[in-house]
Amino acid sequence: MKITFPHLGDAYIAINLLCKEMDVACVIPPLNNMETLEKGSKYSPEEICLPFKLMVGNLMTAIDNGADTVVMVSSAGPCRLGEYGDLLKSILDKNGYYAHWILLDTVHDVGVRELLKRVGSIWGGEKRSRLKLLRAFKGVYKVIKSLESLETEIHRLSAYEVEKGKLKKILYKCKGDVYSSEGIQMAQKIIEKSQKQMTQVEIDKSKDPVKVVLTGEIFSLIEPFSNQYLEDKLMEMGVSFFRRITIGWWLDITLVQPLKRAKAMKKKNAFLNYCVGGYAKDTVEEVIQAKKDHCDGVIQLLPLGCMPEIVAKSIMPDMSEELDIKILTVVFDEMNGEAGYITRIEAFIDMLQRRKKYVLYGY
Amino acid sequence: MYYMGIDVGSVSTNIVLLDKGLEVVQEIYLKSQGSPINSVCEGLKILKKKYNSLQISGVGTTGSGRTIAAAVTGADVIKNEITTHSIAASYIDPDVQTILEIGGQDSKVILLRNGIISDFAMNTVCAAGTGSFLDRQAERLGIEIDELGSLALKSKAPVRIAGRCAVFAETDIIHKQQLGYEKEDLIAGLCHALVRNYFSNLCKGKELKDKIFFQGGVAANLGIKRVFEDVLGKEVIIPKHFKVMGALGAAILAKEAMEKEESKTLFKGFNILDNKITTKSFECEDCPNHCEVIKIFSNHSMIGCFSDRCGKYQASASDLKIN
Repeated sequence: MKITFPHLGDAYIAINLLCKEMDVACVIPPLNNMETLEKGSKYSPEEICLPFKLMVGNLMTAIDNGADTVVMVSSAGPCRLGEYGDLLKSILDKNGYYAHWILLDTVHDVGVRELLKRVGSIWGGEKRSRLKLLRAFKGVYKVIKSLESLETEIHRLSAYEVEKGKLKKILYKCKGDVYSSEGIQMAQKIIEKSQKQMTQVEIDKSKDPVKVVLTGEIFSLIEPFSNQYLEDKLMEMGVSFFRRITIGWWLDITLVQPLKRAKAMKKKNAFLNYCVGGYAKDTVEEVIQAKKDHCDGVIQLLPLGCMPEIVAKSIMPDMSEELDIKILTVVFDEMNGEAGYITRIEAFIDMLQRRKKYVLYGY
Repeated sequence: MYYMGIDVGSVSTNIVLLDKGLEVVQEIYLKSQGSPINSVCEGLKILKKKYNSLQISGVGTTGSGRTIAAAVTGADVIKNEITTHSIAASYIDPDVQTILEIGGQDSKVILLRNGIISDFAMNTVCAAGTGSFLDRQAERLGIEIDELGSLALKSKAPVRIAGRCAVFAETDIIHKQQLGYEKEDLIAGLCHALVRNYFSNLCKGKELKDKIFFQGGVAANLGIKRVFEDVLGKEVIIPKHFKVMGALGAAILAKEAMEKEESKTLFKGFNILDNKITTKSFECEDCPNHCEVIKIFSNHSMIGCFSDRCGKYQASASDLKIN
């Protein structure tokens, strides 16, 4: 049995480690590229969002490469992700890409017993101890958390470095090494080493770069192909930025600290009080938090046709005015010509830089 | 001592030459016709007849083809068109607070407060409210694009046309045309549709204060100007150099940068026209990213390279420069 899964940013690094730890064979689809998109959009419904198309492309390639079981998280949520699993299966089946599907819905939707049964079915007929799984999960969770803290720190610091590009290199080298590492312990060591390297990079504290928060739809934020490698661009431009939404964040809210999440969901704010699906409320809250953290601006990313984020987008002008913070919304779709969206990002950053120089408060 | 600004847009390539006192001494407006490099060279050829390389003391590029133009000419400043448009506008009139700009492939609204951009918006993923849409419809109705504005002004009863989407609008126009509406009324309707699209797409929740500038290629269309004025209930001013505002801004930025750093310009001189400039693109297969890499050659030596994510081709290009 060979499992596969669609890409979501660095999730493949974590899942690869988990599979090694649990001794499960897995086929990782090639990282998202134009070929994935072409394949995906050929078989997907025309009006569906970009993440869906990419996932179709991922799974088709993986099945071609010998995978026979698809494992993916799903949630019976109000976002289309809730139907992703079933819709994906139906599309792939119709086009002759057969696989065994294991959909990991949240505990909230299917209950603990059903979820454990589904997880158990990943091992097929063989038995795996639940304790071992728990340990492996805990280890991988720690790895992904420390990898993300390294990433967050590099996003923040790269604007200050004296010799441009050094930190970025450390980050990508670290990710590559963790991916090819043999186990959790080795992965941890690699990250620790990179963290040390990071602190040794010379930085210029007298610089005053613009500070930006990235928020929006989770897939567009985490998967670099779908946002045209925005984070690399920002690092090159010398922008200090922060993105809360990561794989680790998602694990926290769905698996590790669901109670904390439930409490957070009840919290009201002045702009959007209810969950309207997806993570729209989080997007709005990120903007409020960005203001509290004295950030210069917020960039909201969404794929064309993402309903929850459109709701959040329509609140942005009000927030921008009331909180006195600059917000840019960037919509991504199948186009991969970079010129248009680079212009928007550049102009936004340019505007923030000029304002930082000349404007003390207000318009 | 002249400063050159080059704006390479989707439809037109504009070059402006400023003297030391920031007066426009030369203004060139060329159709890009699919090859930005050729049109930049075309423009330089015109300049070469009048000026020599040593007279140019700074170059700025802007527009969607700014990086290519910079690689070909050797630019000192490379800036996005939103910044350059606003710099040019507030140079011409420091009191400008709103800029409406409609170009070939994009439309934008820029809000300025005290000469600093305070907000801007650009059309998202569709070209419905832009110049290329007008271009196409004019062609279909068999009218020169330059006549579009004056024809629209003649209309007494504009036809209502759906402007949300370029494809829907075209269908709508064809249907109404078959019903026998006058050409003038159709074109006036088209202008209304474009403006409606512009406002609902870009200006939601934005306060458009006086003075309002209307610039970009589409500002040549007086029909659109009138609709803008009707909808806003305010005067809309079309600046003298409306077609080349981006290039003008780039030239101003080039001057600022050169004076601040007191350095020598990177301009390669008009001699670049003697060399044959070619581009070559290929898909790199070294990793799953499959970047579509573009290389620019001048007589077989590489002068620029773009779109490789890992930067290895770009690095080799910069090595070449040092040698």
